[in-house]
Amino acid sequence: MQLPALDSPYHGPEIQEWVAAAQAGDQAAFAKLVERFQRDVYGKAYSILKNHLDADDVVQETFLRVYRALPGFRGESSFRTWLITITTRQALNFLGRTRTTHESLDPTPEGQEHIALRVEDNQMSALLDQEARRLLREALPRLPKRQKQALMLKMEKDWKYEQIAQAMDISVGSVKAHIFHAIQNLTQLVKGGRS
Amino acid sequence: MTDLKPACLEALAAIEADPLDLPPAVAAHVSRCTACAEARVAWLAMEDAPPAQPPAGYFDQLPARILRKLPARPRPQGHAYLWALAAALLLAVGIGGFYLGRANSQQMEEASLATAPLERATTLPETPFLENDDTMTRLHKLKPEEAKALIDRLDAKESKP
Repeated sequence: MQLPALDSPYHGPEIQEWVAAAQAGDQAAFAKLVERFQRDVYGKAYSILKNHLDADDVVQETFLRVYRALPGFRGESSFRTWLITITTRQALNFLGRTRTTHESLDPTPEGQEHIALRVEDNQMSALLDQEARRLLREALPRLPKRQKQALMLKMEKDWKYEQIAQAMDISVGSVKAHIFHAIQNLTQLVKGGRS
Repeated sequence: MTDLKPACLEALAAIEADPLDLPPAVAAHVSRCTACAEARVAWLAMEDAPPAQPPAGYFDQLPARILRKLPARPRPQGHAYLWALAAALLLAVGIGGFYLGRANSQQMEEASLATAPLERATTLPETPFLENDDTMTRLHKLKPEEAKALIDRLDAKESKP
């Protein structure tokens, strides 16, 4: 497999140094990470929420969450992938909360848990972060080779679909299909593991 | 691999088509099914977001705004261990110093007792024979001829009526 050259500002050696320093509590190093990735985080939040104020809330919430969770980051994926995944989850949670507050106070449908009885969002997100990492470690070796390859290039190297397509010598559509099927299989493994 | 339920298969297909615009039935399933919700997050996170244009100066101020809100992180346990070690060391030094101090103060007491007889010697007059001017000392110091003259004078006094 021929790997394309990477000159991304997201994968320089300084990123790992800043992450390590921020993990030890160095707030100046964390500020550098914020500076480097703020456009991506904001862009992802905005693409989901379509609103600056909401996106700003999510961006701040995400960086604070990331700072708290940093000591547990073990580099199973690239820092940017991890950060953007947390941003996505926060934005979707925000979207869900907004929709919930707009809902009427109709009685809860039978069999559906009332919102007040659900685990608080942040706690659930933290659990999901840990759970997702654990499941990924356990499930990845069981994925078909091409799916695993595409998924790892996306998650570990944080490559764009075009770069992965070039490296695997397939089309961008095939890369997306491989990655989606990888996620689908991981979902299956998660369900199987819980049943 | 285990087979997915039809609801999960339907949800994954809808997520692949558009993760941000799910049909109501799928959205309801995703809100209850953690695995499908995570699949949605993973799929959406991998999509490249188009660059967004926030208000001017937003990115200049954001790092400082974030820094102001950062919580103080609890110290790692290794530091707690070092603090405990330092406290134990301090305690040991303190206790050792206390007993050493007590030992030293007893020695000083003995030393002060040794000086007491000298003080008594200078203050208490219980050794009259050491006085230089008493009668016996003066007699002992007389030369033979002076002693003979003294005896003669005493004899002369006794012989007088």
